[in-house]
Amino acid sequence: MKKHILSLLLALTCAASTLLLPACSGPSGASSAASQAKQSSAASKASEDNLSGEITFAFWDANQQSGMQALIDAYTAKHPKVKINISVTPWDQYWQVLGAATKGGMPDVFWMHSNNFVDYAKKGILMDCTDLFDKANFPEGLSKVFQWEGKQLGVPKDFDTVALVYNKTLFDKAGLAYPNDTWDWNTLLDNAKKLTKDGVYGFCAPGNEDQSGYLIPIYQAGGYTVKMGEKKSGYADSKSIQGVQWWIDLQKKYKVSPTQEQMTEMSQHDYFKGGKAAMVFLGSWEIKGYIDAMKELGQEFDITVLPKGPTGTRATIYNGLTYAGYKDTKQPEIVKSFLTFLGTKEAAEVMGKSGAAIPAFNGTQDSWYNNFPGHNVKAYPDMIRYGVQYPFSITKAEWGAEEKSLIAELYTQKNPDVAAQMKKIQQTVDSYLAKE
Amino acid sequence: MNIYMKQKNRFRSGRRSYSEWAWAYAFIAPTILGLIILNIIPFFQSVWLSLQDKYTGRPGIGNYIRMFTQDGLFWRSNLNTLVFTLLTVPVGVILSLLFASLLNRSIKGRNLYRGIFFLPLVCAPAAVAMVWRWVVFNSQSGFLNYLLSRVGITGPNWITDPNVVMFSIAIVAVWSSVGYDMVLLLAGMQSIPKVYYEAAKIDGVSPLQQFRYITIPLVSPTLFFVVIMRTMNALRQFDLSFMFAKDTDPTFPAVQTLIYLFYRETYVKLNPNYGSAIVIWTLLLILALTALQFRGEKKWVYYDS
Repeated sequence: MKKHILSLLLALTCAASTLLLPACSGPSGASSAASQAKQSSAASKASEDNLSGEITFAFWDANQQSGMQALIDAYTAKHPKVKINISVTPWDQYWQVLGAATKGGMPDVFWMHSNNFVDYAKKGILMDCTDLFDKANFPEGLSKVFQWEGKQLGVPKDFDTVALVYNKTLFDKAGLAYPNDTWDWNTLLDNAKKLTKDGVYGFCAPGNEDQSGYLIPIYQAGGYTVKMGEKKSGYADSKSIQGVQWWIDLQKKYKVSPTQEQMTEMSQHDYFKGGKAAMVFLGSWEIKGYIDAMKELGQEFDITVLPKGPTGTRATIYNGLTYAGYKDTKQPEIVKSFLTFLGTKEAAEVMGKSGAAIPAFNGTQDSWYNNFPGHNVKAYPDMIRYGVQYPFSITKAEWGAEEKSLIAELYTQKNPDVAAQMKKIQQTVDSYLAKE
Repeated sequence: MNIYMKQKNRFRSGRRSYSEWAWAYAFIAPTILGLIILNIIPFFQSVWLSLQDKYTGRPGIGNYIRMFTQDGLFWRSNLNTLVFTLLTVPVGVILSLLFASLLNRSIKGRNLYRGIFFLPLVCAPAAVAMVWRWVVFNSQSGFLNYLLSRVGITGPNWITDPNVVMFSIAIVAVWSSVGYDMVLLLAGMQSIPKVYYEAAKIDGVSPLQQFRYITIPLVSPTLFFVVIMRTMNALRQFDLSFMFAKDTDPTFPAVQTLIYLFYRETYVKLNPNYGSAIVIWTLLLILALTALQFRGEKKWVYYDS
């Protein structure tokens, strides 16, 4: 009799655990949010001030974590019964994790990037934020990026640009004048050549960076890649080819940059932060990390605008992120309230003051660059007037990855045939654009 | 009367088949349910997904046609996967057989050695890959090249040289799996009756011949199992390639395996239909190679009745 009962209990436990395990495998945020929701769903129906519950806030940049935490603290000061849990996943895995989470365990508030925006908008899982913020407070170009079928599917967060950073100590040692806004491609090359000696490289030109890499010389030469709404891309344009040719020559022909193979082990950031490279194109989102690292190294560095192209054209690639909400969240009141807060001037200044990123709210940019005295970070927002939106389209996820790997393939060739490869890229990208 | 006699009486009463079968089904039900929900139904869903076009939703074999005719990366991945399998399976199996037979004798510290060999398996694969990549194989600061430099050899660029990186990955893969196979083979070896070895020693058979004529045939069922599992795992290799190369690194074409291709298409380029086609192809490849091995089973695997 006892043995019967024991075996019955074991069988039931096995059955129960098989059915429960799939539910447990989701991220902890989901299960805690779910259990909280059961308790607080009654409470959240009450007035705004009585908002209570727990939500998850997911993003990818650990450099900006203190900034996001500052935003959360400012918000919870107004709504003390709300708890917001941060979830940071590095960029390389963020989209894979988020994509898997669409099947279960989606965070309530999360960062959205133009690369993947359309995919998520099409899935219908982004919350409509049109009434949560005032469009007049933000640059028009940024709001347009996150529009879908007439609705704003996110609250604008920031914009970022790419500038030239240089190691002052290395320039002083070589007796060269610092880069400034008169520089062009030739000046950059001449100085880089003079700086490349004794194990130090004058410049870092990674072939696998797009926004802070090969896209910049493409646009500076007067070429283009993908224009929103157009079915034909511009990779095979002679000016685009000229841009990529110059970029790859920095590594292969002039040898002022470490090779792509070397940069597999040490990234361009490691080279610069280790004092082994004198100049690098750097996105504004990296600045805070650089300042901390260079201070530790005891070396001086500064920022200036990007050099002009061969015909005097100026260009930088800018992009903006948005805060998105999960449409089917279990805490819609809290999510709406948090997103509304994130679209206010106060939130922009909190984020700017933390040095995390350049806030998009008009007029709040100085809260960001006042964080970095002694460094010319003002160069970043100053370049917006000739900035080009980081190209994207509905099928960006597919052609963006192919563009990057086809350019990376050029670096594996002994004598890279840039023109042929760019034609190949154009054919590939156009085939995806045709499907839109 | 005790419990057992009571049960025997109940069985004799004629209700034996029903209650036995009922308990049998009750116990296998959770696993079967899990298999159906988590493995079998998703398998059919994958097949269905692979037969649909992502953009038009129309059913057809478009994804397969694209895979076989338009995707150069696909054929390269096949090559890489097969090369990896050829590198790791024979070496891994031979090494684990060797270690198992060495550790089958009564030597001092035998249990300690067994534990040490098994240790790689308790470490997370991603952590293992990171340590090998940065600590051991790094061309400038890794200690493998340091050791080689002490002997006067300039070590190759283990991670950054496209010609060498596959060997580096194979080394890590063999290192991780030898312990597990060794334990399995050890168990197989210990079930061989000592009587055979004693008889062989009396007959004056050398240890090597003992190994060839006694150990191998009698451990062959376990060996067969190990070879099949190793091959299947090798054909599904992803995590080492992922940790050793980003998809824009110059070494990527040399390490991309079929499952890495699947990962890129499904999660990076967000085309699960094409990714499913790749996965179905991988499944067919594994099925074919396993079927081949089962054909060979009759020739070299010895089962004593």
